[in-house]
Amino acid sequence: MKQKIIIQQEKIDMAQAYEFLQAQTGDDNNGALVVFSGVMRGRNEHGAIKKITMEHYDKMTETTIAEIIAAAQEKFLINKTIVLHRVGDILPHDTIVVVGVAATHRYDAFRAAEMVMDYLKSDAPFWKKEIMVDDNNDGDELWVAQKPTDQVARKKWQ
Amino acid sequence: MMIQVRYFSWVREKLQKDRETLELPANASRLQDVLATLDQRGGDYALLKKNNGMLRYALNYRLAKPSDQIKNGDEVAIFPPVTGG
Repeated sequence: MKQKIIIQQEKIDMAQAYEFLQAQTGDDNNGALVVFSGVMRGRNEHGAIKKITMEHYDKMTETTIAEIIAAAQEKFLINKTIVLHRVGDILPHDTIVVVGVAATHRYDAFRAAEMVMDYLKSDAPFWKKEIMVDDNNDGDELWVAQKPTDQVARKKWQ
Repeated sequence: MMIQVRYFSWVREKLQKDRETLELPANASRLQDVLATLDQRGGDYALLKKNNGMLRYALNYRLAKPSDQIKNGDEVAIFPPVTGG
């Protein structure tokens, strides 16, 4: 199986994900490409967000994502996987993460993409801080807490 | 035994450092001994014990438990639950 994992400061180019998945290689007989993108929301429960900063543990990130892809590959018949993830400063409506899967059939592509995303949310070493634009709290900073539902989502694949 | 410790997210901010080299007592053998050595320093390091139910650990770039064995030259990381994506 072919895979690509890129952690980047620059904006994500969705075309890069599609080009990687669409290029047929070897015995691939892809009939389904699923691409999920996670986008930065412009507000949280406290108000409007100016930006987020995404920190990561560089030496751990790629190996963790590679293990996640391997786990999805054990469960589903997939031929190619791509994960793109931003770090550093990210602005509202920017794409934060892309998970793309190519498979022979759509069932495997949909399910594998969801599984990779669920594992990424609960295992990959990224931490997100929101910087607010509220009039009373300009520049207020808040580390985002993991949602209990993220762990529930991961457990459903075990 | 000497090990490297890395801190991330609000743990890094509260300790005001992202890494340090730590010399452990001769009888240290597990990740929990790293935590105990840091706790003995007091001050801001008290947050490690105070939040131990929610903090996560990695040993040589893989998620780890306090009971995991450590050795000279290892890298231990301490951080809150991850929030990527």
